[in-house]
Amino acid sequence: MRVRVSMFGPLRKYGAEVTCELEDGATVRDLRSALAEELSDEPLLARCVFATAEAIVKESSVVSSGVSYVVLPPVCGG
Amino acid sequence: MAAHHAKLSAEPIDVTALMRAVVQPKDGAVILFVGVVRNRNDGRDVVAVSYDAFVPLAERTLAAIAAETPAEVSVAVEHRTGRLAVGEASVAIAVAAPHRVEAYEASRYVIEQIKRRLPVWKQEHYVDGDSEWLDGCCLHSSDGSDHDHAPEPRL
Repeated sequence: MRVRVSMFGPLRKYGAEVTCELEDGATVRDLRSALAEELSDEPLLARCVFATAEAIVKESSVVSSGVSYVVLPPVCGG
Repeated sequence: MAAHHAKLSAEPIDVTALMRAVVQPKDGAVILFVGVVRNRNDGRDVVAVSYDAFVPLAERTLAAIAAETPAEVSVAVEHRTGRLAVGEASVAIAVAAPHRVEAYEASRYVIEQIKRRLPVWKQEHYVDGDSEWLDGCCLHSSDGSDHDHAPEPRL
């Protein structure tokens, strides 16, 4: 399945979103690996989490094709 | 339970409107905290800061932080997005409570949690034309202990 991941902050240099190709049943951990490949092993990824509009998702949770994912770098609001 | 106001805004924040929104007849204290863009950071002269945000999750997170304050506390909080000049308000937190102690504590709690949890990113623009995304606090997934986390920077 095809999963689109939106980029924020320092990751916007890769564009507004990056598409990853995953097997059905893949987890967020697999999504992380696929995205690392797309982003040429961007070192910041190790310090990012994945989320939906509702919440940060677990590494072990199964990726759904109908859901929009985002990758969140370390935050610095305020 | 108190009704709170939590919003990400692309427009300048009306701080007095936030204060008016929180205060009720039961309240004896209102605290307004305003974070503003300053002209110097880490030894570099700053002319502006751009704020990027994942708005839907940021608004949920702000609402969750406000709801974590004690029941007698009312919170109105807004955080800016977009490019802000030096002196502009990037975040404003109005807190009302019956007494000052809980108002001060809640105000401090909300800003500290924003620093740690809000999905917002800051890009500084410098006098020399250069710009840089600042490092920040790593967010955590509930089972994310299997990947690296660098030490947290000073807030």
